[in-house]
Amino acid sequence: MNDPVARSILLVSLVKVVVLLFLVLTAVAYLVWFERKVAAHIQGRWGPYRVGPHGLLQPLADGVKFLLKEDATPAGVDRFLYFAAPLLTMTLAISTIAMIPFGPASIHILGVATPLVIANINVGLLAIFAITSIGVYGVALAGWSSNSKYSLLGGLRSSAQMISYELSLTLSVVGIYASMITVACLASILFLGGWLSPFPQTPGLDWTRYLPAGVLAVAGVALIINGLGYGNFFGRIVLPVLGLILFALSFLCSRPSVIDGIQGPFWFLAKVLLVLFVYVWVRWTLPRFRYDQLMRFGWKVLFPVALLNVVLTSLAVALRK
Amino acid sequence: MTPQLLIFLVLAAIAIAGAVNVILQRHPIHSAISLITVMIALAGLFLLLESEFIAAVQIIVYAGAIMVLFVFVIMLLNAGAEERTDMSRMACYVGVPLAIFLLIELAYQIGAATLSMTPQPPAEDVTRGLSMLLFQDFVFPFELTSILILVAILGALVLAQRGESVPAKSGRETIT
Repeated sequence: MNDPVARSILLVSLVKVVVLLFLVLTAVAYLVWFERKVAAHIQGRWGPYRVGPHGLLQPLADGVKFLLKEDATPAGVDRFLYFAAPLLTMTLAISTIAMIPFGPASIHILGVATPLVIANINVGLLAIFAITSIGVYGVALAGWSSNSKYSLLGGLRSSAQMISYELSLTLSVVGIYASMITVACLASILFLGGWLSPFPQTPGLDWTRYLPAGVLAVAGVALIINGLGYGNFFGRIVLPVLGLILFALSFLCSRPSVIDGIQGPFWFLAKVLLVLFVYVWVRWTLPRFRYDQLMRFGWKVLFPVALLNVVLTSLAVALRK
Repeated sequence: MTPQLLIFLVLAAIAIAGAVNVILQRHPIHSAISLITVMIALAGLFLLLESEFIAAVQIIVYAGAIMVLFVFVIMLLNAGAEERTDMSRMACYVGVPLAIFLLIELAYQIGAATLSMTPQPPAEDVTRGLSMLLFQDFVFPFELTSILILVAILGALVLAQRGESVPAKSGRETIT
């Protein structure tokens, strides 16, 4: 640890973590704002408008509210898990960002050339899937620990949903990274389909909608958990965003910027924002899957198609050689 | 003390504490979570051995897939806290000494085996090497295992559906 190089690498990593954490948390808050705004305009409303110009300070007000609200602990909850599950959800969702490269180039901080990624490991994508696969526990355990049958059912329902699209999602990536050719069209549809699903479970949606599907009004997991613990579930908004980031990285060609001067992180950001807008757009204009329809779709349509995709792409790769 | 050793000790401590906790906890859910902790600590150990792939797969398969099933089953069965009983005389006088004996034997054997080993230089690409082993050298046993698992799944399906003369109706529910 006395090695100056090691120490500066540690310091730079710390700086990167802190900066990125700040950015991501702010982004999560503003994504809720963004979605509420877009949704409102699609429905001919104004959306948040009171706090700050165009409601821009609304996320801040929400954050303060989550922090200051009394954290009531109902009787009969499993104390440890009741507090740990929301934390787990937030932590896991956010830590996946560490593996995302934000631009191709390295930048110089404190005289050390450092790539625009926190953890550059050679199985980055797998690591992301590993972390998101543990994320299921946050939801399931939050539902269970609340000691309410509605929470339990909601938690189980959400996690069952998560599992049923996770599988096809992971498989759909195999095709892309096996070939790197753009037969990835099929895979890309799958991919988007997979990532379309987590959004209904983030409270962002059920929180803002006036009249969601009757059954889903009880979003289950977030029924009993309140205050800051509830706020933690907003961390899961990172997950769909992460999916969109991966989508942007995998499918929207990452050749050098068309417009000179807009490079690296900004180009990346533009791609992500574009996909994000389309995402919110689709979500608020097309009818939504009921959870059992979603699961049937996941297991009986997406999964076989994903398998077929893997077989066909590997066949194509093998024939090419 | 090198940082690697420090990380190893911390991870090993977490793994052992988790494993002990699996037995000590009275509620099945808490035991399951302890088991997940053990698996994640093991993944950390794999990471320390520079095999990132194994670490990721360890988490995806064990912590992410298998344990989710465990947790689901426990939750759906609504299993309560287990009751404690006094240790039976047999377990006390025969079981405990046997367990201690097994522990000593394992420690001795593994210790002896590790001492005689020479440290291998890390392979250039562990993931690649592993995939070569799995899909070329041992492709037949590997595929055979997959078929075995498939048969097990089908068997479970047949057992679960036995007695139901009418297969579960799929499609939309009728609203009356």
